Amino acid sequence: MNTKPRMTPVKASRRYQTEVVVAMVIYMALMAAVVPTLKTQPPLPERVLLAILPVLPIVWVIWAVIKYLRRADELQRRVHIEALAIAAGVAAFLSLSYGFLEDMAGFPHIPLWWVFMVIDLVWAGSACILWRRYK
Amino acid sequence: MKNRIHVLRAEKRWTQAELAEHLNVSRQTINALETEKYDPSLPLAFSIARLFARPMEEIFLFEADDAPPHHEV
Repeated sequence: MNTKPRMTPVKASRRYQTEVVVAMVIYMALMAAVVPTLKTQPPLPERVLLAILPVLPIVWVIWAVIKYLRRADELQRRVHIEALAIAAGVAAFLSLSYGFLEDMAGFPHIPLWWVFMVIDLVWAGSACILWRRYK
Repeated sequence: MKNRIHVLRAEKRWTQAELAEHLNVSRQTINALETEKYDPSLPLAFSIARLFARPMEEIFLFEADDAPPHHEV
């Protein structure tokens, strides 16, 4: 059993929400700053740096998710881990099948960042549905 | 699994939020326990028993249907 004094689940939720909102604001600010510069077609090393810059706050979001899952109570953790498993499965299935459709059936290319969107949306949707089981 | 958490909480005149605070869990989890939608882990069950100063068997009513634990989709 964990004997360390834990942050309460309520505080952990609030901390998580704050961290995600702050990180997303930084992300949007970086996007707004980077996109106009990219349109001027800067040289390659600069372009790489500019393309990578906005995703740095996402590292913070991932860290916030891990911390939240560790601080959450057992039911919250169960719901989110199950929702994340569903999201991972759906994203894996969709990216694999669409990859095959692109390669073998000539379907139009979809950028990879859509995988991120699918995981996030399916995670949120599954968590909402799973919570109903416990209400 | 059936339990008497709701009754025991009422005896103490605690809200769900207050009981949640005592057990270091969220209010949603207390609600899921009281409505018998979720069975607590062994450590949480012990914490509940200790908090209400009752033996576990007086709080949780284990029935034949409850074993093995199952969660259908």
